[in-house]
Amino acid sequence: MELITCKSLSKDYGVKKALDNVSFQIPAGRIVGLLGSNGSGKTTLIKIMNELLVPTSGEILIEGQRPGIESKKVISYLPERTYLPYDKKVAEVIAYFKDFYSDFNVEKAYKLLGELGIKKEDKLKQMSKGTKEKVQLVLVMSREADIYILDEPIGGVDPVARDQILDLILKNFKEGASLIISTHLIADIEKILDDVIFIHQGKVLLNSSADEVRNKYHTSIENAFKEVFKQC
Amino acid sequence: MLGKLLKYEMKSQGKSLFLFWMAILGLGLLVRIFSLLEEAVPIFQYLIPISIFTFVLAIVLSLVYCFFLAIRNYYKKVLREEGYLTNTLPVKKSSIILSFLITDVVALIVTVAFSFLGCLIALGSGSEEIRSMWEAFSISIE
Repeated sequence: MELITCKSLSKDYGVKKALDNVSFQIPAGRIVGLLGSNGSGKTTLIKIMNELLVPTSGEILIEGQRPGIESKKVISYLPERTYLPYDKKVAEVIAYFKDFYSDFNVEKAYKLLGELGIKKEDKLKQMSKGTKEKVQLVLVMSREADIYILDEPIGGVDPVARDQILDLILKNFKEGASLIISTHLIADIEKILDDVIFIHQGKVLLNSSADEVRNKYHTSIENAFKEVFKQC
Repeated sequence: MLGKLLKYEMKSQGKSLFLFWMAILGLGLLVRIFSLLEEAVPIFQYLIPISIFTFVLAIVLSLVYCFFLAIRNYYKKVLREEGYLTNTLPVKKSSIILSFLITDVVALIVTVAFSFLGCLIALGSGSEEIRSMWEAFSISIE
């Protein structure tokens, strides 16, 4: 059974098609890049996977089931927004995650935060945007989930911090899990990808392994994306 | 999971309303002190109406704030950025809504209870005013 199966998924907002007949499958143990420009439908697709949006037609199955309570138990999701309650301390949000997610590893969370110089008594409202995003990432990566979905994890971050974040991601996701990274910063992320899904104006243009793309187009994933994009 | 949601919601609501509850009790005590010492300290007779007004205002504001908190919390935790956290918890959507509703009702009941306690403190239990109010209430029921 594939970890994620998407069948003819569409999402309309009035006349605008955010997703148009999207189909793909994601097996276990793969790092998948969901690559596309801003407004291509990546976040809409991710929100449907996390039951934050309902599709207009088609379906998506997470471990054979529609998005719901059971899928939320196995998906660890990092939205592109800062979403933690700002009036809390780090220790309080860790306790919150531990309470609701049985796969949350408290020791790992504190270890990772310690490596980033973040203390448990630090208040979120006193942190910079970048530090808050790091706290969010640590919380997500401290879960022993089957699927990690990271929406633009390096979007608002400087190039030095990007490597730090990618390193944190690669070293801390559960063995055998799948990792879906959605981004428009293809060049920064392509070196870690097993598979790529190119998405543009709600349509999947390409769904292949990263190596196959490089071999077919004889170039980097980013340049291959530009070539595929031009053909549309 | 509803229990866990309630735990966090009630703690958050309690923190938000705590100062209002303490203000109600404190102002009730102030009214009582001014009333008791009115003859000993003449200036207190001028402070009594002001303190009563402030006390009643505190009660009204607390009750209004309860309603404001109910709307604000739902908006902030379900419809805004925190919604990414709340709506992706592995809990039923009905449990999320129920946790807000139950917390809001409990917060309102506790605020009314503190208001009543404040009134008891302000008027003094066993005082003539309490007896008169109770007699009027009993007659109206009959």
